[in-house]
Amino acid sequence: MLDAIALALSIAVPWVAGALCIRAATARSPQSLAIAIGYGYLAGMFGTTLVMRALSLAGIRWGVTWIGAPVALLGLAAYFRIRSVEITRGVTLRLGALATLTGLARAILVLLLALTCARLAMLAVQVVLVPLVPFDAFAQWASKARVWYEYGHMVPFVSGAEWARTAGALQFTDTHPEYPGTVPLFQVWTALWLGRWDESLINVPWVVACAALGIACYAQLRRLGLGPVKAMFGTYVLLSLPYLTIQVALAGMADLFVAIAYGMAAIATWQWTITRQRSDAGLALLIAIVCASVKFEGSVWALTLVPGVVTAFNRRIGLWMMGAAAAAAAVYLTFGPAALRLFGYALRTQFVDVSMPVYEHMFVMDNWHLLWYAVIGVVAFHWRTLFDDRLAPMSVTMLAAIAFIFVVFFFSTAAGAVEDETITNRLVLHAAVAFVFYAALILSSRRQESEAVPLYA
Amino acid sequence: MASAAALFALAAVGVLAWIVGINSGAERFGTVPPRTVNGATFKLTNGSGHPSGTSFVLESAQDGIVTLSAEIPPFAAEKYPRIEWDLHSADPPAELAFAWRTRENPRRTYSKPIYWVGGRVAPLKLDENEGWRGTITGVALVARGALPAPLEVRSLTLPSTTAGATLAETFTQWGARFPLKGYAISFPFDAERAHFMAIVKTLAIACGLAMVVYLGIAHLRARRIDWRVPWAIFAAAWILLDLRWQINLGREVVAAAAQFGGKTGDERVLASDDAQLVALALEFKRVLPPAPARVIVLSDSSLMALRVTHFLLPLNASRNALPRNVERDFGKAPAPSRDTLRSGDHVVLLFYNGLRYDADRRELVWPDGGTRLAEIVVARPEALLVRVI
Repeated sequence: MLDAIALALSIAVPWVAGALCIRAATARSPQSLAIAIGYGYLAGMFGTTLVMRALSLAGIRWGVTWIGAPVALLGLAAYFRIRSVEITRGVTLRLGALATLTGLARAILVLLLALTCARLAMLAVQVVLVPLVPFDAFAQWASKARVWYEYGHMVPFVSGAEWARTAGALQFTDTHPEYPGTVPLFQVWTALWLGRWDESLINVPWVVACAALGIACYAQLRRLGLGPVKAMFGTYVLLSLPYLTIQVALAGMADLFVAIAYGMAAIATWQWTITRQRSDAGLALLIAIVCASVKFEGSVWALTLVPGVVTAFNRRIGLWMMGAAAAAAAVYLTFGPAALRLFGYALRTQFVDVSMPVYEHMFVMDNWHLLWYAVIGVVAFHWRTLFDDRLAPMSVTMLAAIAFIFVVFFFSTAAGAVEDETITNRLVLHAAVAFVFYAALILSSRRQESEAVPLYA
Repeated sequence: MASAAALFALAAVGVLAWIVGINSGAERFGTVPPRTVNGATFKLTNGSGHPSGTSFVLESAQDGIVTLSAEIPPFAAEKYPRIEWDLHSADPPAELAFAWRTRENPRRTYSKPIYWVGGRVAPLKLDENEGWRGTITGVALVARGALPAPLEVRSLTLPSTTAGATLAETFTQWGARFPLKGYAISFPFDAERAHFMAIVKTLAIACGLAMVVYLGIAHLRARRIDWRVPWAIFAAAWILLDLRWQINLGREVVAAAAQFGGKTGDERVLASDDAQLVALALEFKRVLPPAPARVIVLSDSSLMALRVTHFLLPLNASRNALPRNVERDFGKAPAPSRDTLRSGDHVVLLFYNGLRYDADRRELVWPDGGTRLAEIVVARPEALLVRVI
């Protein structure tokens, strides 16, 4: 019982604070409370890790009070700001237009919601019961968390060679000592609330982040003008992706957070290209920073948002920029050095054909259900409109994402890991959330055109 | 919506019929009983091993090869275009093959490689071009190279390939459980490689067919396309796929509850699949000094070294990161350099060949003959914990 209360508080404190802060920052914009709730958990957890880092720098041993108090105070301040700001409720889109639905639509909505909730419940049970399983989870993520939890601050992790040289120093090593500490800090935060290290319960943030993603996705889809059933179907599709759910069921790795952060950042960026609201831009920037702080690849993923932003300002320059990048890549492949170290990958000019494992994992096995067939179908059916004023920023973002995956798969040292199938799905996962929303955007765009209704009236 | 459901169902039945058609044998609607040959029926013709119950356990190769063969009641190859080996090994051999002889060409031996998929042997599909024709009179299992671990041959099955049996087998494949073990984080659906056709591909084809037929009919009849129909087809296929996945998830939760339910955090760890390894690590942990004293875990298995190291944390433990920073190195770890070991360092030797401990001389002995004084802290049959003096 005490564990349940501790877990609930470890979830609630950053989530409520994050949601309140986002709500306070977006109170005057046409964003719903659901968006603040959806984005709030990740933002709140990231804020919590910043407090933990600050305390560590200041030499103060971590404790729930020391970390939780500033986070809660920030939430409280945000709450009073919300109260003081006159919220223009008139422009806030309502999410629950259930009363207008037909009986069949309501039944479908309930079915999809039930399937999604059942899945999340099963994932929660799985996470709470099963200790760390994946190799990378205990080799490079929980290793840091375990040590930091024990010492109450961020003890340095060094390379194996340095560790071997310097006996007597309080420093540790693992498979990737250089990896960012954000995800291990999530685990430490949970362990601090529990008051002990628990190999299963420390992974609760994975399932909560998944639930938060669902809320954010539904709210953003509704914001596009999709009805409750369509928005729920999009959310259900996203949360039913087997590979995404496996990342929760076998929690402990950082890839799920990269996928969620990149997806949420991309969605906020795209909303900004439509609304030009500063609140959307701010949200996109914040979550892009979270994305970059989770894993090295997160920085590259965050950078793939830049061409879309440029395109939103000036479509011609954005498209020209993408063309120039493609030309530069071609020149590099022709005249570039055999290998170039970048973001932890060694880029190579030699093409490695890993198309077969990529095809099998994306189109044959059940990792993604029918997602990639659907994305290709939607893009093919709407190819004429992909680069029009409205969709160009989104299409350019996705092109940049595809280019990143393509280069890593076919022109980097990671090709070996793609061939032996250890990273094939993981890198694709990073972009999966964004792709689901991109497909929904294209479809909603067609609806907007046919109905000639402005998106944000 | 009814038309969407009908079209999708028709298309799915069509694809299913095609799958059954190409995977069933010559007598689709006849009587072809399944045949099973137990491992103990086989005779060793090369290498060493012994029968064990109904199985045969292969232990080692002779001149780099192990062969297990059996004379079986002759049967027509075309009736049995598939075979399934039931083999078990903790560390399967790299090269395995199925071999057979025919009455029509008795001097020739045909063979086809066998592959391990998702922890088991993938069924083999055989055809005339590979020599699977005429009357089969003998079968064999051939392993080339050294056997890293004993290989238990449980049985060889020639499944019935009538249309009904093939249909049933198709649904069995689709309904099989996908366990959420460590490898599942990278390739959870590896077992689908052995399916007649993966369910995603089947439903994608059915979906596409149903949509094309609907669009075609609408075009021919000059009707306005109701886009809800293609979307309903897609949604039906997705939900069908997802129900399978939800059921699998439910099975995993039930299994996890049986294995870990009602246990404390520490008990759950000790109920893991590698509980013995965890117990060993925890035993070492109890006698090891706190950081900054160093512990180096050495094992020929990178995974075992990592697991033990993980359970030694927050002690200052490292799997063999010496003498270089090992990055996703699944190969054998080198022994640490003598110069980098300090007095007070602890070394765990766990199924490790790179470094030996001489108990009489109280020395760690390197392959080049170099030594370092060390004393035993904990000795177990499978592992040793020593302290460098």
